[in-house]
Amino acid sequence: MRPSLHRARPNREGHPDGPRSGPLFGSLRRAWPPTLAVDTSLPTWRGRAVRYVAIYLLMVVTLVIVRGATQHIRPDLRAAQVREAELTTQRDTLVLELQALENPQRLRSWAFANGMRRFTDADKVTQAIPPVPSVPAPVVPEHNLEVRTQWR
Amino acid sequence: MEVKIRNRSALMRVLALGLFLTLVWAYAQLEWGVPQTVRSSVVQARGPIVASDGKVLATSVNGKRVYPQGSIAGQLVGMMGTTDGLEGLEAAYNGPLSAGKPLKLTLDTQVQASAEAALAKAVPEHQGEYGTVVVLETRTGRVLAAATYPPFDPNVWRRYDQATRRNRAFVDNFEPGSTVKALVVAAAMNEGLTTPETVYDTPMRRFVGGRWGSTIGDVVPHPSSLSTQGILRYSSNVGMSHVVEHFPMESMREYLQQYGFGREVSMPVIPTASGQLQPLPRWNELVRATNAFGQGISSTTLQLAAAFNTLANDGQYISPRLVEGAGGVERREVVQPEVARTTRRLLQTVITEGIPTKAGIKGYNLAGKTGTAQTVDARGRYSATVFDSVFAGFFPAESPRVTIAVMVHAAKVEYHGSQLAAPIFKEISADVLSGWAAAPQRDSD
Repeated sequence: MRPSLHRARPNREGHPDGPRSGPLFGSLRRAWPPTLAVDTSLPTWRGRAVRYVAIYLLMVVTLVIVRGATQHIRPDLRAAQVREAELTTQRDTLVLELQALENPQRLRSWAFANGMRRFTDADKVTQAIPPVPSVPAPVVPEHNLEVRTQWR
Repeated sequence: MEVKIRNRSALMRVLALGLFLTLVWAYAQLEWGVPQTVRSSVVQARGPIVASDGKVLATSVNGKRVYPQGSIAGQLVGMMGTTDGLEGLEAAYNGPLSAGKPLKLTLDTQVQASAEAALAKAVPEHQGEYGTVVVLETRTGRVLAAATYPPFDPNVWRRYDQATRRNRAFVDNFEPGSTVKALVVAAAMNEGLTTPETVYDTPMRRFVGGRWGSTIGDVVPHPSSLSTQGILRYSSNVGMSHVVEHFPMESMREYLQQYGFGREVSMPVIPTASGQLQPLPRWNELVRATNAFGQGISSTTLQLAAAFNTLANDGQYISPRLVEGAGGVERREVVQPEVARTTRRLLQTVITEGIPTKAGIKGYNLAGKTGTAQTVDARGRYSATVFDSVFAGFFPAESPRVTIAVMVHAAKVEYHGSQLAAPIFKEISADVLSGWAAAPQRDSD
């Protein structure tokens, strides 16, 4: 597709040189306005169409492959969200159950029912702490250290 | 051509109908769907209420407000309606809770459970109507427990009536009775009007108040002369009338106010009652004498605990606080530290000599004062059958760490303070001391 800048546009009558096709008008028409000549030949169009269709098909194939390869992501994500919600609910419920089971009233009643006695109510016995057994004094080995200082 | 136009027209109608139905569906979503979602998210985003030991008292799970500890501190926590708190802390702190802020309380659920268990055991046994307990941490004024019996479970709040839902420990007024004697004696000693050894003539009955006076009497038989220590030991009303005989009325009323009677408790946002203290112009000799043994004034259990905490805290009144970081804490010196220490010693004697088995625990120094207050009936007269059984005390007596006030209303069996409220005090004290694993003292064996 090479535009030809020097092709004359046909006038209304279909002739390159009409009634106003004097030397002056002819030169003006050629110079102004500048025209682009499009290559509309059949081989050019065919080649172009083939390229575009090929690109399109390539894109379609690519998209289909990508879609096919990633089709599980969305359901997986949804399933994960549902699971997360379930686990969150389960955690909250367990925390709640734990809190309820740790109820001090309940623990207290259970402890008393199972024979717990308060520290203040329990009998306390005292016992004198025996004196520390006498340990012989450690024998310190005689070890004389001689230091000689030399002044300079 | 005509068929084509007709088909297109039909298609357009179907399309228009579809669009219209979509509009209706969208509007319906706005009308019905959104509020449900909003409610759920409001509840879910609501902040939890947590005790000082980490126990969750209220939280939101799956768009529902739940109270995992059941009836523990039920009246205090209150409950939530559709989107807002209706009563208790849920209502008082509705704003911060709605904004998702957690509410951390000073409550210790172990002490709370202990207080509730002690009430649940004693009140039905004595056929009482209701009872309240407040436990304070002496040095800080932190509320460790505020229990009300009968219990209330906010999870199923619709099953309870208004009276059961009320946080009586903070809002119900009653005459504190003889418990006030300890506070008045401390005030009189602080003014130099009496000493523990000062002896008074104490007949069982005495006429007080001159022309407009009345005869006051004692219940517990006692010697005909008692020292101030004996007056507390025998809970002598006649003796108290002697102790306050030279107490200037304005000064005595001021002391009672300084102890926190007849004024608002400095506890921001939380509803509390202020009780009643008669206005000064209505004071006369009789009012002074009756106020000295706790008649003619009223207070809540919370106020009584805070007043006794002043004696436990070396004479410094410190306003109770329930929410960590809520501010508004008041401190003031009511009596001198040595006066508070002397009063504590007198109150220790009340237990060791007066009611060692009812309120004392072997090996531990507990101090406190009983009270059996008459109640006012519907006609405005003192009832001869309905009494409030009261006790206020602290431990260890020499250096208190915990102050407790107990009140049980309208018990029919053994309703005296020493028979009903004092054992509740003992029960809670035993639990707390056992929790500390505090070693008993050999001296007091």
